[in-house]
Amino acid sequence: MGDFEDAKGVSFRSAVSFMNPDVKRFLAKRSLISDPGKKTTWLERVFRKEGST
Amino acid sequence: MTTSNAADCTSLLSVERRNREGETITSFGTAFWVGRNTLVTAAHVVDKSVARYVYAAGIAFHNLDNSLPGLTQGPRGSHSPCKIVDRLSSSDFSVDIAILSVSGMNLKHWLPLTAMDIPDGEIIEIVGYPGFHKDAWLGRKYPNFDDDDEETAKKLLPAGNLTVTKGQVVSTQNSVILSRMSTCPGFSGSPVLYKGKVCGI
Repeated sequence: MGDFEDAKGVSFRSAVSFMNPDVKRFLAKRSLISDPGKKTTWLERVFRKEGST
Repeated sequence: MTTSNAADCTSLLSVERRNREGETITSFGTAFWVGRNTLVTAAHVVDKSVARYVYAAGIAFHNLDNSLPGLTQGPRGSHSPCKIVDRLSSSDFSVDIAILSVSGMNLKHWLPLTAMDIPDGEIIEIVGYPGFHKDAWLGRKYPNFDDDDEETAKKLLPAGNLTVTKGQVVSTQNSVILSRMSTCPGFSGSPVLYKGKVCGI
């Protein structure tokens, strides 16, 4: 894809990063991503280790 | 998680809206699985929609009947209706995400998410479904675009086929990843992959 970009001029694309605090909280609320501000309980750790959701 | 695995967890999303005349308009986007029955896509893909269907990963949509009756009466390929569970968006699109659920699904594999920082210069990949990009759209994106490039664009971003595109991260500003990458309408809602995990959308 880079060749086409080089030949036709620079074109940038933007994406929403999960680093965004609001997005991170949004995902963490549903346990889709870990919330660094929240302590993980021993039960959550066991569930994650065993693949439960 | 390899790119091939990611492709298996990336699905076509068909969205129906009603226009001012009351007619049903069908558009397409991309969604990816993040749980047994849970999908993530971009909020703007499902905004104002009246119905949503997710198709099996890998299915091409250029052979589908795009009309409403074709979708509701059983198109070619497996599809399931899904509903919006939650959404978050902002007017500048720095936040643009929605969670969908599909009843009756019980997937065994889905994509892991990460909030890791991606250094500038790193390569990221996007797996998604290119839409029917029009010349006018390409002309806006590429000022030097000419007629001969139309075929090239069709080959690189084949409409309706699951496609992987990759590019280099230029910078990350205010949690928005800026990259040199070829995408087009239809890729909205696609997972942005870095080191086997989804780091953005």
